[in-house]
Amino acid sequence: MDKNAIKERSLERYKAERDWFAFLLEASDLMVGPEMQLQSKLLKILVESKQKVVDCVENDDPFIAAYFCNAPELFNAMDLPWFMLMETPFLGASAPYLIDDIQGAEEIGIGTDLCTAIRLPIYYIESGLMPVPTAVIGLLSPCDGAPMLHQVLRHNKAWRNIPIYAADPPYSSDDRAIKYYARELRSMVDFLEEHTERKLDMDRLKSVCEESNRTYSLWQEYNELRRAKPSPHGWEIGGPQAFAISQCFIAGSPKCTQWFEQLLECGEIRVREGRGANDNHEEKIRLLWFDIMPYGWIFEFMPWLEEEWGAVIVMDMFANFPYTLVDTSTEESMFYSLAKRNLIDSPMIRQARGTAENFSADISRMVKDYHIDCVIWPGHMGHKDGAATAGIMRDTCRDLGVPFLHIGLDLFDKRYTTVDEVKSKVSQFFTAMDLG
Amino acid sequence: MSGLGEGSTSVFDDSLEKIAGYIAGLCERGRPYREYRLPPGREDALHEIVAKVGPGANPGIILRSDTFVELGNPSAGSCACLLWTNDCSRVDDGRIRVIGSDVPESAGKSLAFGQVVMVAGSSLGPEQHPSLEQAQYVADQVEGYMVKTASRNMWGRVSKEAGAKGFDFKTLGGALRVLVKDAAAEVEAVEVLFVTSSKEDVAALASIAGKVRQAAETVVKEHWKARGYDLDCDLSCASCDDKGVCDDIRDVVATIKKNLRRRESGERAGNGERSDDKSVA
Amino acid sequence: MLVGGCDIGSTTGKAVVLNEKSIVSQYIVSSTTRPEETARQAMDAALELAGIASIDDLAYVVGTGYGRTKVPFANENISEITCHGRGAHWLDPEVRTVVDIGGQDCKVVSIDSRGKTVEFVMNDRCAAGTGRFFEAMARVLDCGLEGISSLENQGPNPCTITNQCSVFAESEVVTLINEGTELPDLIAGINLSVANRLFSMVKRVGLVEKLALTGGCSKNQGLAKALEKKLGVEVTTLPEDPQVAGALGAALIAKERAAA
Repeated sequence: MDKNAIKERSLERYKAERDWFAFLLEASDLMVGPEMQLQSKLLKILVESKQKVVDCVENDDPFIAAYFCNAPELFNAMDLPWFMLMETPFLGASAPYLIDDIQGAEEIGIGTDLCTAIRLPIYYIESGLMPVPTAVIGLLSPCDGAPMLHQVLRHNKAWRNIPIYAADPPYSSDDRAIKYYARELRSMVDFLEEHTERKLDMDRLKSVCEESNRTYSLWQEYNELRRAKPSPHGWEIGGPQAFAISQCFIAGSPKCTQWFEQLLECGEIRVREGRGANDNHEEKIRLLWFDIMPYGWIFEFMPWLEEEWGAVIVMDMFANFPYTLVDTSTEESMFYSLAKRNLIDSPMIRQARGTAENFSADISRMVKDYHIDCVIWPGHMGHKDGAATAGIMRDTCRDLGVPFLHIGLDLFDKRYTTVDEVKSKVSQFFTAMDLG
Repeated sequence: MSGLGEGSTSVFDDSLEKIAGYIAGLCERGRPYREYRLPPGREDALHEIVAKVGPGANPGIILRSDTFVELGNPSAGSCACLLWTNDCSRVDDGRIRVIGSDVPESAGKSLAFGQVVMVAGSSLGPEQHPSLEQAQYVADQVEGYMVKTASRNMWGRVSKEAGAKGFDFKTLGGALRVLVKDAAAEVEAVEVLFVTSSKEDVAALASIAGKVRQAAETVVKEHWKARGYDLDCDLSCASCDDKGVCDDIRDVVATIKKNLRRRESGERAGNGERSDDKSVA
Repeated sequence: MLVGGCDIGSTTGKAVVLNEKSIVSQYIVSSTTRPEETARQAMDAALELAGIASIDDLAYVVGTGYGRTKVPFANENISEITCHGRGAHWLDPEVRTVVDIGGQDCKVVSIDSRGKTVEFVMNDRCAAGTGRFFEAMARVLDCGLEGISSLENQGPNPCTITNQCSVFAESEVVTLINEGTELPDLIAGINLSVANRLFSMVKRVGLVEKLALTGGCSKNQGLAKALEKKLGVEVTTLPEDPQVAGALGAALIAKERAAA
């Protein structure tokens, strides 16, 4: 294949994804209501972000592959477009190509015991279906699967010469650990400056971090609204969108802050009016979904929870604990705060890196603060990091007197445990525990 | 289990000393504390405070427009910790101390906020720690007061309605005392310190709180270990049950590297692609 | 006041009639292909035993089990998890862990001091650890279910059956037979393999004594012994036929509903 053909192929799936979300954007534009406007804005930002990467590939401009917990404020401050290697499964949204791609991964021999969120990017990389960036910022926590993905990059012909840097996450979370990680982030910046010809300007970083702080303050404020009974929003709006927009797409930008202002406004109106997440179905069960949403089949399951059971996802893992605010007084304090935020506060990393006490502490806090009726640990097949802690979560919930369900499923592949099976298990659970 | 070792009182005793020193230091620098005292009995203590306390005491949420005073916004300065000891002489039950402004004199302000809850009970141990730790995050249990679900900060707000009723730190301290005692029957004494004098003063307290947090981590690990869960890794291969797995993985990695080198040299020699190689570049 | 509970499983249907204090009658029938028919047969038989003329004489009826939504005369249907927990608890108030081994599924239910479900785990995806597995093995060994169940038939050296899947386990047992493994050791090995399966389920929920078995397979003494050895605790013997625990639990809930 010639160079242009390779480039075009590398954008095939990416463009298909952009187009899928452009289609959803068109559909959402036709719907009324402030929440739909928020969804529209999010989709627009998503499509624009993807287009930016497409433009970079087509114009041979620098861009990188990275992750949400690599202090994306730094990328924004360097004006460096980026995409997440695991973007496709996280954005899943019941996309039409998802199952075919998962099947494709199996057909080229990628082990089915590997987390689907890792399997899909490996498939895209091995099949030439992922844009090849200027550089890669890797991820070494929280799970073993993540480093596996980067080993694949080293073996793949198209990627093996792409420079890669992975900040080394320490095991502990004390001051020494945070300072160490701050130094790792500085090294990351040096690496990016060397390979992308972009420079980090400290004034710009300060401005981005201050904006990011404004965003997170608003997110924090919004989260408190979900304590209200009924919760003003459920699965459709809130945590996952907030996370995506503030961490994956436009970290530290005024557009991000504006989105949160609108989110907060919507939420406050609903709280004052006493309106719940679903205007047609009463909130009967307040649910803590302690993981990522099942992005691969979200539209087939989540509405059913509210409609069938009045079960509202009041809080989930990725919506909780908006991050430490960045101290922008000095360069050192900025890197320290960013290190703290990304080492200690990033969801999933917070729970699964290092020692496991946050599985218990976080559940305890959320159950209490959000008046949770039951906790669901989906038991995603790839969560080897979390599977070992199921007992801790179970015992914590028992101590709290709150029912706990461990399902066992694939958040992205609905063939693993079918949607009907999940619905059956959840229904059994609600019935057995006298919920709803 | 009582205490963490023979003759020891608790891992927090050192921090209790530091807090006493911190308070004395502030007094010397012209920032004395004001003191409230609550009676020993639960009901008597509740009579003396202006808020209801208990599950559902604050049924709604406090919106930002309904805020009388904000406490502990991270930009203003915030820290909190709870520590306990088996030595009841170290904790003055019912004493509430405030360094800096109290709530009634701070209408409309966003105050730096430090909160320290000191607990004593001769038979307190690691198994009570999680309940005590959670008790300081009051959720909906104090009428007119709400603490945000924020990591590592104590970020709260007092409602206008509560402010109008005279909500103060005596109320908040009294409420915390009730909630902590309700959390564990082994608690015999609770004392609370609030600091709102300045961001710098709260930052100084935060460094002590950091030590408390570290000590608490040890306690939490011990608590879970007693229940059969090992939260930690002592980073020693010699004592690790999974050493055999790691040894096998090293062999696997070595084989993979060898195969990769073989493949690369084969490609360089122009021997062509592997038949199952899906790389396109 | 009389109430009824009807538990429609894949292999058997059970009915219990209860008064304020005790079980008036109980009956077990083989399941037909139609759950409504199974329910009628079981309940009609229980009513006849109780000397009750008509289902209308029952103040309230609760259906449960696999076919619970198809019990035509039920006022309400309740999950079998809840019902087995309640039934076992009523039979022995000290029971806290219930292991129900049915025809097509098995479950472990942890209950509190009021018989309320605290947690549960189910295997409803495959035949491992269920009546179907025992039926398959009984066919291969040509000894009948009673042969597998009886304590006298358990060999001292249970063979190891490595396959969890009943299809592959069947092949494995055939191989063991051809290798000359003694029948008692095969029987003991089969019971042990199910006990192993149940052990991991019990561990997942968390074992709290006392532990009781319910469901049709609970009458397998060999299994009970193997599970006792595996868990290191005694399996409590319930005072009534444990196979009706689900129907009994349903009847108990019916009693509460009728009184409300």
